[in-house]
Amino acid sequence: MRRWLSFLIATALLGGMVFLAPALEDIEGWGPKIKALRESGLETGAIFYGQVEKIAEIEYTLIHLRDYSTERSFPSDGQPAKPPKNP
Amino acid sequence: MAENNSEVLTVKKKSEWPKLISSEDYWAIWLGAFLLVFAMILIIPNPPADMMAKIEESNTTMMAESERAPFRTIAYFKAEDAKGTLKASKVGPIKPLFGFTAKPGTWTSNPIDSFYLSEKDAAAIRDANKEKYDQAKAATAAALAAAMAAESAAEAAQFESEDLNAKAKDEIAAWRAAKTAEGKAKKKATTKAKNIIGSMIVLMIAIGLLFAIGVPFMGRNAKKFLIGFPVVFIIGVLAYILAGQAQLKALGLSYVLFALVIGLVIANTIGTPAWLKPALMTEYFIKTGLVLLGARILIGKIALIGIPGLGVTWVVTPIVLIFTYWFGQKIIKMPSKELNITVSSDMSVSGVSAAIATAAACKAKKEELTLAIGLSMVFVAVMIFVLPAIANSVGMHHVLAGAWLGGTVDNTGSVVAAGELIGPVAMYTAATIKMIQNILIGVIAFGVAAYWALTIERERSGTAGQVDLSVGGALAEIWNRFPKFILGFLGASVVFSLIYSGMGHDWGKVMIDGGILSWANKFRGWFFCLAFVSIGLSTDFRELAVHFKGGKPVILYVVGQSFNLLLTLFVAWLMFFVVFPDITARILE
Repeated sequence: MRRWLSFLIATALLGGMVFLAPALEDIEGWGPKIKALRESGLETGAIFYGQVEKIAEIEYTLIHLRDYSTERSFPSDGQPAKPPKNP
Repeated sequence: MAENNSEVLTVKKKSEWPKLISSEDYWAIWLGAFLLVFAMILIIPNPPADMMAKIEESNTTMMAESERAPFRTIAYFKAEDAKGTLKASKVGPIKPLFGFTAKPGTWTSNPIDSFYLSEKDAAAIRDANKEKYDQAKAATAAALAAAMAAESAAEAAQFESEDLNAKAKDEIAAWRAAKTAEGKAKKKATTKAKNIIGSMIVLMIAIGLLFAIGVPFMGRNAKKFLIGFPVVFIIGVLAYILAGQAQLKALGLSYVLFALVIGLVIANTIGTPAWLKPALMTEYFIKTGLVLLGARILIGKIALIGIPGLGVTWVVTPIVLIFTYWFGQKIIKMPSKELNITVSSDMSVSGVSAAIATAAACKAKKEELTLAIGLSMVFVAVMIFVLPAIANSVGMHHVLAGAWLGGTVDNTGSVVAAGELIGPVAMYTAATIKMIQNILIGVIAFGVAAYWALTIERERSGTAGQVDLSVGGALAEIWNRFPKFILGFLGASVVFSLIYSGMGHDWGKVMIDGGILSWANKFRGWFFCLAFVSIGLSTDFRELAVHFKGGKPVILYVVGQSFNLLLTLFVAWLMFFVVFPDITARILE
């Protein structure tokens, strides 16, 4: 009986946490950030890069920097324009 | 994750051949290899139609546009998008099989939405979002027109005007953002009815039978395994459902945590029934998942990343790992070396995935892995918000902030989320740093397994003084004690890295990332989920409390993470602003 009571209490706590979670967005300060992340659709809980869709976009940016980007983009280095590298 | 240390204490030099069909480690390799080879057989002969022609066309356009303009033009992005839509998972005989790997999705107030949506409810969602989608489409069209006008203006000045170039880049970025927003609106406006209950039942049977094949060879009862397995799977589904709650998901609370918590609640209240215990094959699930994870560790991707990122991760990560392990052993004197290294790896490398690999490599106890992951999840939910807040409040440079987040926040998804709270440059930098750390998992797991085999286990077995210093002796010693599934883990990494490099990034992106590894990813998630349900169901809170005594794991995590935060910030500044400022300028472009 006591074990089942403990189980019910633990389940109620877990369920309560989950069902009250939408209220997290009402917390001053953090709420808007949580809302922003929710609306972004990011896989925030992903444990490896292969599970994050955004990574594909980032890889394309890295490929652009490596293979296509020209020196003309970076006037800070003071060098004349160079042709793009061959991908 | 040895149940006790008896394996460590009684190392016998037996022939390896019988173990090929009787050991859990080898069965993890066979099952992982089976899933990967199965996907390769179905995917490689069936690429998307005209794949190479489309890739070539896109590359030609991208090259021409790069030569034409000093920034990514509209035509460049359209060519890049065209390549991005090519995915091997969307064609051929593998496509229908992907339908059976679905897991519960995101929901806000009704958990049933995660696996079942009636046509009536789907229609209501479509109707509610139609107007937003129409507005988003109009916004994208307007943004595209503005971008085209700005690009034309820049071109008219032969791309010599910095102001016009900057204006064009801003307008193109605004068009990209509008396109992303349109994509999200479209997803809601085209919501379809779903019911994945049937497919999950099929998946449960398939995974149960797959693991059951090896069970009798390991001297266990397959029938008893299959009786308990559905319950383990259903708890796993429940964990996925809870982790799909939108706001909790935004906090970075993964299915791994919910799988552990549900298992722990059951085990420590009503108790885990005896008939369920034969299905709790934690190591079998986790090692098979790790072999599949190994395929994802594509060494060639390091080449994409650039020197400053390598500096931040390859300098800082090993130093923090070794420092934290040293601190745990010498200063706070943690009784368990395995807990020490698992927490250190979790905190310094890349969170849960590194913790799983390290714990398996050093044969940590399940309670130790539970503690390490629990700590990681608690801290990560705080760090996602606190670190960006600090970076924003002090006006930290976005590249520096991104490198700082990437090197310190656990788990890739959380890193990307934390970067998102600062801005796109911070997010790109953070995610890039984390990718390299992800790839370091293989090196760390191998290093930990070798160190444990050569040093720790020898000390425990009392053979530390009888060191055979010859190369052959050392190799034999490593081989005898080495966890063999690590070979599958590393082998998968090497094989797929070679295929990826050999066939080129574009081919690899479509066929490996968008096909074989996408398939493996689905199963890996389920296997880790089943493993953590099993850990929870077989863990006693009192055993956890023993490891938590004196709060040492928390002290270790806090001290190690504080050191990590300071060192990463310093090395990131050094790499991105002192040694390679030109690369930082390129990132900002």
